[in-house]
Amino acid sequence: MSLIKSIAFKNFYNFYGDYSQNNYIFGNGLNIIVADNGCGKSKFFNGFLWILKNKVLDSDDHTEYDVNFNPLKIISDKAKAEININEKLECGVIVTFEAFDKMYEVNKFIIAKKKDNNGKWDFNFKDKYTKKDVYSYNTMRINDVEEKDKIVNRIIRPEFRKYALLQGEEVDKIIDFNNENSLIEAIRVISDINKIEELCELSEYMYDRAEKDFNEQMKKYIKDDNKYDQLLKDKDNFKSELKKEEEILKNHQHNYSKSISEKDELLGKISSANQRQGFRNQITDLDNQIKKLILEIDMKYENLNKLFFSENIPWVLLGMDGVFNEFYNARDNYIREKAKLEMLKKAENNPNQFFTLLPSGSPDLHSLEEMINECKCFVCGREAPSESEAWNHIVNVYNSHKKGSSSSDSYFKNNLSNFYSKLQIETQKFSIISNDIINSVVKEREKIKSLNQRVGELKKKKDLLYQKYFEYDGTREGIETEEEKDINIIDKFGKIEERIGEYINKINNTKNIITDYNSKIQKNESEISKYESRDLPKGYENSKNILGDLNKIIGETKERIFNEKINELAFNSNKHFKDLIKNSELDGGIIHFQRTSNNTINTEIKDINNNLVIGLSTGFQRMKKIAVLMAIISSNSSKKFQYPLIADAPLSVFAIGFIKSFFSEIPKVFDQSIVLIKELYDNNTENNLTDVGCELLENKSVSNFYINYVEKNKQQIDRVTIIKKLK
Amino acid sequence: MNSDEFYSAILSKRPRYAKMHEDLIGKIANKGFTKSDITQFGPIYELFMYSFVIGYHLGSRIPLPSEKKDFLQISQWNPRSVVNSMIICLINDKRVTKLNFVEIDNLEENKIKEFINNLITALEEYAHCGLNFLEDKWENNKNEFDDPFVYANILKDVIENKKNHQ
Repeated sequence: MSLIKSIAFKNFYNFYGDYSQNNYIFGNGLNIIVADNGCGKSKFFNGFLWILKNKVLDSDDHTEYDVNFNPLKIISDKAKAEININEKLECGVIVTFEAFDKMYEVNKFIIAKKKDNNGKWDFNFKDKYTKKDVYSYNTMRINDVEEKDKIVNRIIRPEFRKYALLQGEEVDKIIDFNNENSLIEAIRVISDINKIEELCELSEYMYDRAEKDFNEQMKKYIKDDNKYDQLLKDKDNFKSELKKEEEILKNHQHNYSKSISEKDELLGKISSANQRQGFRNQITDLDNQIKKLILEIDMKYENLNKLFFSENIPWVLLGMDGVFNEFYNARDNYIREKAKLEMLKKAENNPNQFFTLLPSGSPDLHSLEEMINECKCFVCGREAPSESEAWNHIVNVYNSHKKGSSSSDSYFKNNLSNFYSKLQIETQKFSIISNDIINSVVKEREKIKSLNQRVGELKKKKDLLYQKYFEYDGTREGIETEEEKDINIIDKFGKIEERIGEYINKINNTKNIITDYNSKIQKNESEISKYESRDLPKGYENSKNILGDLNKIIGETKERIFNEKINELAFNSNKHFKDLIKNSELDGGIIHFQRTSNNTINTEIKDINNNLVIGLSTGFQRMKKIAVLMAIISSNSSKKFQYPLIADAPLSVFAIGFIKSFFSEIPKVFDQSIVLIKELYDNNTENNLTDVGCELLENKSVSNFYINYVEKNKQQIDRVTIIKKLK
Repeated sequence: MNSDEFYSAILSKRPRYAKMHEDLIGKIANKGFTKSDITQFGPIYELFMYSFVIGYHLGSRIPLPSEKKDFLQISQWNPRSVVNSMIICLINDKRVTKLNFVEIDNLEENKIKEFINNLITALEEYAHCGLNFLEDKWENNKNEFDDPFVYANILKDVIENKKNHQ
């Protein structure tokens, strides 16, 4: 088996620079290269195409062209821009690989010389092949053309390339369930069944010859040879007609199969459309909930700083408790001091007058006034309804206080007692406010956190719904634009049903004709067998009989082997299919393989109750194909593919569940795989990997892990692929 | 001067801020019009009051530079309870006045006017200190402003630092 050790590029598309700057090392197991769109996935794949086939795939028209068709397109734009007229540059690919205890290096390159600034260049296509013995390290340069071809074929043999080089959506063509021959062809390539078929052809030929010889000889010995001759002619005629009818039957069966597939596809579309509508509704509903929550969060953020200045718990007053208490104490002192001074002044001025002084701590005039107005005592906190005893007492105190103080106003230049009272009354509620503020802040944080958490939960729910939506061929654009219209599906469906009916009739009619011919042949053979000739040497009859028996035995053996291969294929396909869909929530059913009368294989998906399963998404369909492909490969005796798998993003239609399963299953079939993928790339994370990407990075079966970058803020010509090795 | 006259005299003042803080004010106070990616105060006086509180807790008065700008009269600031709280801070602050309330009651008219002006100057200088503090944060730890609770966090930190130093 072959093991690719490395690939390196020089000025190849957007792999600018020398080979050492654009080098990937590979080992056994999974080798993953993650790259967003435009970061070199298909160009990387082209490197292998060049080495294997001297071709590159044009991404504009998805067609493979010879490398010498348009070499200018292959060469790095940046490298081309940097050289002057009459200067040369090299553009190339080097692949190193190990096979049969030898290390090989294949280097294909172009030497391009710039002739002018109008796009005129000269190109010289070259290659260099070396072979090194892994034990003795003897290195040899290979110049022989045939030897070079053999070396390239050691990487992946031409007949296996179809199954080992997977280029995006092209994988759909490898196993085409609409084409009954597709599976047969795959089985033929991977297994040895074609040798048995060759043997069948040979034995049939030998039997035919023996029968012809026998018939010819019989003619010589039979008296009524005209009638015998006529019987032989009739037999040949019937056989020829039978063959024609068998061809016609084959054709009808093919058309019937194709129509069934089309019907299946349409049913899938109808079913998928209903499913998609359901998911769309749910997604829209979640979207609305999320928008509402985000609006609520935004409002909270916008109004957050208003809480610093709320009437009840202004956050701005955090830490001010002590200040208020100090002030209240200062004010109390002021009241007491002022009352004392007033009393002294009064006494000085009116030595004979009796006067009263309210006890220390009594409410001031302003407070008394408020108490009267509000019918409540601020000292004890009790209600004092108007005209009640308590209320009247307050009024008396007020009046005596007013009387007492009115004459004191003249003792001070200013009277700010009401000012201080006002400040105290209006800030009393803040005197021990810090804890309330802290709690308020915490509460607000919790509210916003809770809202954000809710948004997160809904977004996760939405992502899961999207996954399911994609599994039914939904696209993100479908959500936002008008709903998909399945205008002509019913009409198309009706027409296909009609055609299927016609083909069934044709098949039945042709089968009747075939049966008729078979019975004619049988009757004819019965008539022929009545003719005997004792004079005919036994050898001819013996030869005919022995070869007839041999033909029958080989035919039956072929049938037996064929059926065994189909059963094995069915078993392994379903095993791989089950493993591939294990991380998905859908039940994909069981793949059934049906042998047709013209030795092709039809496939159907059925559930555990043997009902046909229809309407599976594109992702599921492709997963089915990959499962069958893996089964075919692992159906050979060594159970593993002898060549590396090189796959360029065949996973674009898959949801995360599928992708995980794919990477889990591939190493079971391929000893080495090199997979280029976009779906593990995430621009928003630190390491630019999705969760699944991070999981794979830690996975032991992944031997090498790269990310390709392109610096987006550069000019187009400077946007070169940068390779980062993570593992 | 009686209480009402005294109170009205304070409320009639239009405090000023240093012109050098205009940019920061433009970013942090939306005046009800502009939007920003960071959370903002509304009118300038809200930011001013917040800055005063920061400066007050930092315990530092910084004189305004020569280029100043005034804004809304204190009487139009809201809520009044917070304005009164600020007046309490100033009138009770030994760094602002050594006079007790009785002594204030005995001030001559020109002196009481001077007293009121001193209160306002103190208000401005504490706020200037607070704005300087915010300016420094903006220059050196701008990512803090990505948190919607940035102003609560700053106030809390200043108070905790004050407690630790006492």
